[in-house]
Amino acid sequence: MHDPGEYEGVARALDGMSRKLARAVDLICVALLIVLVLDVWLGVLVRYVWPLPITFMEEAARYLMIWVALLAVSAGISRREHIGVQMLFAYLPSWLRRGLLAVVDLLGIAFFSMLVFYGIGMVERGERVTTMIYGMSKALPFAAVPVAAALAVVQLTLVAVRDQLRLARSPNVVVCP
Amino acid sequence: MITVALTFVVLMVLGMPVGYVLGITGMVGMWSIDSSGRFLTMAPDRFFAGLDLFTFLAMPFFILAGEIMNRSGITDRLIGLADALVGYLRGGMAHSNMVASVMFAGLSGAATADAAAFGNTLVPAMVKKGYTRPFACAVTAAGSIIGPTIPPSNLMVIYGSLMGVSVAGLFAAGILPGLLICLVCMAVIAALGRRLNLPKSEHRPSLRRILVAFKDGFAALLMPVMILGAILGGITTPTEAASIAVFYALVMGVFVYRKVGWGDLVDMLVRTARITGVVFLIIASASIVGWWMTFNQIPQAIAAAFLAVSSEPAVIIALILALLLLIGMFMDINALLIILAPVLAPLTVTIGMDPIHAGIMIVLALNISLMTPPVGACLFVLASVTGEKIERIAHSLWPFLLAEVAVLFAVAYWPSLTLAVPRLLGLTAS
Amino acid sequence: QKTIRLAHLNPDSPFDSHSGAMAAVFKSLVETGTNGSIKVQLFPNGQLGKDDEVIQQVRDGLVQSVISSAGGISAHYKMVGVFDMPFAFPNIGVVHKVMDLGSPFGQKFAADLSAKTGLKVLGLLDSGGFFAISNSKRPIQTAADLGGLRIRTMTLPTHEATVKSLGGQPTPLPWAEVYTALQTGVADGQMNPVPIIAFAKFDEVQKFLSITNHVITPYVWTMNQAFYDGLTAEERAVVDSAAAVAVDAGRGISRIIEASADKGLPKLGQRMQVNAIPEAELQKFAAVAQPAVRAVIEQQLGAEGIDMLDAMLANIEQVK
Ligand code: NA
Ligand code: NA
Repeated sequence: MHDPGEYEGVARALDGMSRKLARAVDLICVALLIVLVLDVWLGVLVRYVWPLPITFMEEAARYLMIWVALLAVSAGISRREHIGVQMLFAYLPSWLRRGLLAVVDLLGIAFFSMLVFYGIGMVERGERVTTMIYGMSKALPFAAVPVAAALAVVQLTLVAVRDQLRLARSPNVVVCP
Repeated sequence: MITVALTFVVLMVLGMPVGYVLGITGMVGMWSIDSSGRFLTMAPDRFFAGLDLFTFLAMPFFILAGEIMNRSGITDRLIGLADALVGYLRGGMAHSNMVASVMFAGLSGAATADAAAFGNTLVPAMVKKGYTRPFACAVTAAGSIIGPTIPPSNLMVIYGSLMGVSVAGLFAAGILPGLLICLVCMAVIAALGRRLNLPKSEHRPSLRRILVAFKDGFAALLMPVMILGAILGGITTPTEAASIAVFYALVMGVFVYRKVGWGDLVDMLVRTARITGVVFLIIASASIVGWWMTFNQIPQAIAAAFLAVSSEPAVIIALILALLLLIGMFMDINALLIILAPVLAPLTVTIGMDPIHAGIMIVLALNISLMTPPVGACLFVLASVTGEKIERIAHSLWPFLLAEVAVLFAVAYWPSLTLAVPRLLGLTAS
Repeated sequence: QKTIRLAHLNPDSPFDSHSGAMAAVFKSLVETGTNGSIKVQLFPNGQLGKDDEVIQQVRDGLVQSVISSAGGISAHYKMVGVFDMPFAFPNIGVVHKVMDLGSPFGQKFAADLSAKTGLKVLGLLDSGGFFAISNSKRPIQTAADLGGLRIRTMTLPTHEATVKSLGGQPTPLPWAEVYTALQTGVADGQMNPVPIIAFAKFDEVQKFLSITNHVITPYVWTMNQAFYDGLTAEERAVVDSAAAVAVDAGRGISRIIEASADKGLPKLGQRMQVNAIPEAELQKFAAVAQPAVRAVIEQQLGAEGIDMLDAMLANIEQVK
C-alpha cells in the first residue's frame, strides 16, 4: 500500500503547477486587457481629437476580447470557478460524488480536446479568410479557440488528478465539478 | 433530438459546469446531424462566432469599472448617499438598487451590462449592510432587465430593423413598461420586507446627514452623469461609454481619492478577465447548441406546434409569451430573436396587434428569460461576479420573476401601457 | 432526396428584399422543376451566422448555398473590392448589364472567384441600388459639403478612401450601433442603398438624404461545387435556370422597393429632405475620388486587381 502522505505530496505538486500556469495566463490576460481598454479609448479619441488613419479598432477590440475571455477559461478551471447547478451533487453520498467528479472532469477534458482538434482545422481554414486589419488573416483570432482549449485540457487534467488524490485521502470533503 | 435533449438534462443535473454542458450538448447535436461527424468542424466556428460581437464588450468594461469603483471608495460614497436618503426604510438599499437600475438604463443597452456593473458594486454593498447575498443578487437580476427595456436597447434596434418597426417608436414604448417593472419590483421588496427581515438603519434621515453624504458623493455622482453625457452628447456609443466608465473610475481612484495603486490594478484586471472567461465560455458554448437548433429549424417547429392550438387572439398572445419564456430558458436571446421574431410577428399582425406593441412584448419576454434558469446570461454574470450559486439566486428570485411575468402580461393585454408614449410623441409603427 | 439549404441575410418575405425574392423564386422553380427530387430549405435573416461565416459553411459543404453581400465575400475573395470604384457605373441600366453572370466581365469575375475559392457562382447582381449619403447636418450638393462630416462606413479601405478623398471623415462603427450613433451624433451620417436606409429606419434619426449614386456593391450567390457536381444533368439545368430567373426577380424587386411608397425613396422623402446632384457636379466628385480609390485597389489587390478593375470599366464603356 502507498503512504497517504505520498498522495498528498503529489496533489500539492499538481496544485502548484496548476496555480503557476493560471498565474502566467492571468498576466497575459492583464496585458491583453490593457491593450483592449487602450484600443477602445483610442477609437473614441481618433474620432474627435486625433484623426489617425486607423479604422479597425472595433474589429481589433472584438478579437482582443475573445482572446482574453477564452484564455481566462483555463485560469477559472484552476480554481474550479466555472458555474454549474450543483444542487443535487452536494447531497449525493461521498463515494458517488467522487466518481461523478471523475466522470464530469473526463467529459470536460473530452470537450476541450475536441475544441483543440477541430479548432486547429478552423485556424487552417482561417488562413484563407481575411480580416479588415490590414488584410490580416483570420488565423490569429481563430487561434484563440485551440490555444485556450489546450490550456483548459492541461488545467482540467491537473485539477482532476489533484482532487481525486485529495478525495482519496479525505473522502468527506465536497469538491464540486 | 431526444439524445441531444437527454444529454443536456443529464449533464446539467449531474452538476457539470454549464459551459461544458452546452458545449458537449452542441457537439452531440452536430454529430447527430450527420454521423460521419463532419458537422463537428462547425463547433469551434460557432464557439468563436458566439463571442464575436462588439456590444459584448460592455460587460467586461462594467465589471472592471465596478472593481475600480469598489477599491477607490466611489461605491461606498454612492451607497452612503443612498443610505442617508432611504436607509431608514425597511429594504431601503434594495429599493435604491431598483431606482439605480432605472438611472443606469439610460446608459446601457444590454441587461448583462447592468448585471455586471451592479453585481460587482451594489451586491457587496448590500451584503455589507446585512442583506443575504442571494437576495441582493435576486434584486440586481430583477432590476437588470429594466436596462434594455428603457432606451437605448440593443435588442430593440435588432427587432426594429428585422421586423421593419420604428426603432424610435420601440424606444419610446419601452419607457412605461420599464418604470412599471421598477415599481412592481419595489412593491415585491416592500411586501417581503418584514418576512425576510430586510435591514434598515437605526438613524432617522436628517437634512445635515443628507447634505454631508451628498458632498462626499458628489464626484462619484458625476460618473453616471458623465457617461450619460457622453452618450447623449454623441461622443460615444453605449458600448464605448462603458470604457468611459473605466476611465472616470480610474482617474477618480488613482488621482482624486488616491486609493488605487497601480499594483491593485493587476488584481482588478485579473478578476475582470476571470469573470469574463466564466461567462463567455457559457455564451460561446450556447451558440454551438443554437446553431444546431437553427439548422434543424427546431424553434420554428415548436412554434408551429404551439400555435396550432387556437386562433383566439387572447389565447395566441398567451401562447406566444409561454413559448418565448419556455425556449428562452434554454437559448441565447439574440439568436432566439432572429429566429422566432419573423415567425411570431406576422401572427401578432393577423390578430390585430400594433407592431410596436407586439415588438415590446416580444423583447420584454426575451429579456425576462435572461434570468430564468438553467440558461440565463444575467444569472451567470451575477453568479460569477459574486460567487453565489445559481440555484440559490434563483430561489430568491422567483417572487420578482413572477412579478415581472405579471408585468409582461399587463404589457401584452393592455396596449396603452406601451403605446401611450409613442402616440404622444407622434411615433407610429413604420 | 437532395436538400439545398439556402441562406441569405434578409427577411423571408419575397416582397421585402431582393434576396428574399430570389430565395422564394428559386425554391418554387427548383422544387417543381425537379418534381420534388430536390427540396429547398430557406434560412433567411442571417440565421446560420454572419455573412463570411456562412460562406465558409458552404465551402465546407455543410450548407449548400448562400446569397452574400460584398462584405461577406471580401473575406474570402478580396477581388470583389473592384466594384468599390466610385462613380464607375453611369446608371442602373448599365449595372444590370455588367453586374451579371452573362456579361464578359461577369464571366471573368465568376471564373476567378471559382478558381480561388472552389465555389460555384450561381448569380451576380447589385445589393439593392446605388449608395446614397444621409446625414444630420446639411444637404450634400457639392463635394465641399462633405467636408468635416463624420460618415459611418463599413470597415472597407475602399469606402474609407472614397469618403476621405471627398473631405469627409470615415467613421467605422458596428452595424448594431449605427442607429444609436446617428441618433446621438457619434456619426453625422452614413452611406447605404436606399432600401437599406429605409429598412434600418435611419430616416428617424437623419435629416438629409443626398442621392450621390457614388458606388454600387454586388451580391454574389454561390453554391458548394461538389454538391452541384453531384446533381444529375437535368437537376443542374433546373438549378441554373432557376437561379438565373431568381436573379432577374431580385433585380426587379430591388427597383420596386426603391420606388415603393412604404420601403423606398418616397417613404424616406416623408421625413428627410432629399436632393439629387447634377451630373456636372458628380463629375467633380469622381475626379477627386476615383484616383484615390484606384490607388487603394492597386495597393490592396495588386496588378491582378487593376486588371479586374479595368475589365469591369471596359465592359461598362462597351455597354454604355
Ligand atoms: Na437602456
Ligand atoms: Na433563460
